[in-house]
Amino acid sequence: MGPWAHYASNIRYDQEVAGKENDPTSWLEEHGDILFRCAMRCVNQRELAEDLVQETLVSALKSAQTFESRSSERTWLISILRRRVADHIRKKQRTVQETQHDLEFFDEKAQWKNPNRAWKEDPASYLEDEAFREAFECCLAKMPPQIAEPFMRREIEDQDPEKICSEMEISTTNLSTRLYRARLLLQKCLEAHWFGPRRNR
Amino acid sequence: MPGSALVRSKEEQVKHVFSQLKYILTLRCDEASRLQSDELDRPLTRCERWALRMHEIICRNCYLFHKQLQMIRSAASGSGGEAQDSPGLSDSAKAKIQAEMEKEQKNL
Repeated sequence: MGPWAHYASNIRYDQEVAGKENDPTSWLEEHGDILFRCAMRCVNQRELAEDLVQETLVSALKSAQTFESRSSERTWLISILRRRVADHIRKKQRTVQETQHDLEFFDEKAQWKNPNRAWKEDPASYLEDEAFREAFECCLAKMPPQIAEPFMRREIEDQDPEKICSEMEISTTNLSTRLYRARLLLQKCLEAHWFGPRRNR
Repeated sequence: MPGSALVRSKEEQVKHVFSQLKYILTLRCDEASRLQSDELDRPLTRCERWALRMHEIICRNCYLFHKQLQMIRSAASGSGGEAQDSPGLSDSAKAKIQAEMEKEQKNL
């Protein structure tokens, strides 16, 4: 179950309205709010989230013919939205040109160089935190693209590892190495740049 | 990583068990963090899982890293919070999107 399943889980509902599926005029009314909330969770800026929803619906209109009814309409729209969100971060990536190639996370005894901080346990409190959101995007944008790209596909677009491997033409091991590095970089960057909760021991 | 090859003779079996045990008891932080990351993308083998869980019990840093990875995942996916009660699209945004969609539909 992917992390987005939360939003797409309304399967029974989708089956009930299956009869009137693929009717673009009802998209905004039926899925607009859900899409908007998803977008807000990812970018946490009202205007940007609205733009992303608009882009999603407009591009969905263009590709309405390619929509296959075996996936539910909402799932399909959400997958388009996810791609938009990832694109938004990719665009940002090109504007931020600061490279940090410090992958020295462990000392010669293979132990953590810097002790990790205890983050707050409750994910929801992070997502509401605008500073965290900003730090997260900024850290992602700073990552070298060959590392950030698989990470965004995996975590933001919620793609299967196999799909990423075949599309990027890399091996499974290579993918997991890149994801590993991305997660280490992100964790380190968040610890350094996000001055949220302090370590509490 | 030991434990993936097919085991045949008795002697080999014993060797295999010992190498697994050694792996479980001597897992290092760098190896552990790699396993933690891998666990998000593939199911770990039994041996790897044991090694990792044991290591997380004794190593606070790796335990915290595990929590942070989960946090990063929920932050990236936008899930984890209660999305239902947050506000939806405003009326003005809806009207704007509606207009955009109609414009697009005429163009098609």
